[in-house]
Amino acid sequence: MNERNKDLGLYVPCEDDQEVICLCEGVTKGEIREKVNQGLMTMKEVRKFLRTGMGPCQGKRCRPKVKVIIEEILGKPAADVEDELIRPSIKAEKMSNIIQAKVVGNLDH
Amino acid sequence: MIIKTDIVIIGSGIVGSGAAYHLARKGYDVTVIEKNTSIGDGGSTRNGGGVRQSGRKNEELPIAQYAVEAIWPDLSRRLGVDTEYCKKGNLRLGKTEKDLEILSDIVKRGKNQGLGISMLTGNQAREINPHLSKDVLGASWCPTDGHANPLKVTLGYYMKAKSLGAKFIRDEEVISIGMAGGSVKHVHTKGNDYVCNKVLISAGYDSMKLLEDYDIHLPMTKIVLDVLVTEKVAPMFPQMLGTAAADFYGHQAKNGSFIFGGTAGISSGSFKTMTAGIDMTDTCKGVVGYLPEFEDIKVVRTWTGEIDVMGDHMPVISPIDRVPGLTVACGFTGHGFGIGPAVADLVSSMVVGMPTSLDLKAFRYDRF
Repeated sequence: MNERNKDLGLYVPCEDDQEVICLCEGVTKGEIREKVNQGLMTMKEVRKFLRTGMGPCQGKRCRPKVKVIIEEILGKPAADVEDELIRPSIKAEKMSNIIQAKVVGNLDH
Repeated sequence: MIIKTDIVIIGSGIVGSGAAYHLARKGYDVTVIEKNTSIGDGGSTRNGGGVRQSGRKNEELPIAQYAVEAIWPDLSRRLGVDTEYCKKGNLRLGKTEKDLEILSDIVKRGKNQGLGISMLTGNQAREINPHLSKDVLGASWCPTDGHANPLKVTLGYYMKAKSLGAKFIRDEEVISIGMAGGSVKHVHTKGNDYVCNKVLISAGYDSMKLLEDYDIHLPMTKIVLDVLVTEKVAPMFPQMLGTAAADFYGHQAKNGSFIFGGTAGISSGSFKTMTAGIDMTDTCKGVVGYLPEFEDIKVVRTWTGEIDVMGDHMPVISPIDRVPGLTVACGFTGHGFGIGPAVADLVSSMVVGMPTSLDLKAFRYDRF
């Protein structure tokens, strides 16, 4: 992954930086671009730091968009950024229900 | 390819990235080699976020105190990142007479070493945290403990180190460490030979493998850690909670979610660790047993990480005598995050042969 080992230079603000990419957590295109330039170059790192995909929809809306933003900056061809493990679509569940009926699924971080 | 650098750090977790930050700041040419694609993807970003002095072993407490007094208060400013450090205390709860004995022992040991910690009655604990169940009979209380966000801290160290000139190499696994002229000189990966003068191994469980070439066998195993995340709720309480029975621990994060953990047993050895739903049921039971209001709070996600457990539950932080220039820091046994920033600071001195501000003899590799 040589693209990730090279210096990407300073982040240059763009016109569409205010566009909201992750609606659940309110993360904009500009925030993601800035962090990719500072070194967060994988889907996982962007998610862990900016919380993209950590809200109620668990990334269903934003995952493909974040991927394209990272690809654009790294200069990788489309689909070359690793996909994140897609979470099973479990419904948020009350603890009392979980205690009664083991409903929590198997999910990676 | 031959690549020259002053210092190689193997592993990009909180210790590796943190040491890279300190060394880059001092002007050293540092290269961090990470076998995974993502930085700090082990225990450093998969933990409960506790910043705790209470309940530490006597040998480890001074490092935790150093972390809380000298490093944590200023870390957000130094990294230019909100670490979400919250120093509002740790309540360790008890529901039985046996629990209270365990807590009294923790309080006694802490006090003997000068830690500000006290034993509370159930009612005193409920004054601090009114959400606690009437079943809570007592608690230990350390007001200078707290919690922080592991994701922000670990990736914050990485980005700051990078901005100071540290190089980070991803997707490269170190195969062996070589000597020349009586000291460490080479770090070999599949494609590259890093020629250097100093090496730090901070690679969690995998550290053990790299030392075996030098006939050093650390007694390490892996354990799986399960964590659940709740929906966001209005601020309820700022303390870090734990229990004498170890049936849950956790806190409310800055975004409003609660993060509650428990352990799930020995790892199968595969890298893709998964939570076993049944264990999170136990964690839910634990939580609701102490905090009845959580019955109606929803779990939105669960996640898992592995922790590297040392035989005596204390890390190894040590120079390796037979390989001058080689230092190792590993085996934090599930309580490394809170002391991570202090260890990164101390080990950055150790790597370059400078005296450390604390005596770390108790953490030598040859104590077993």
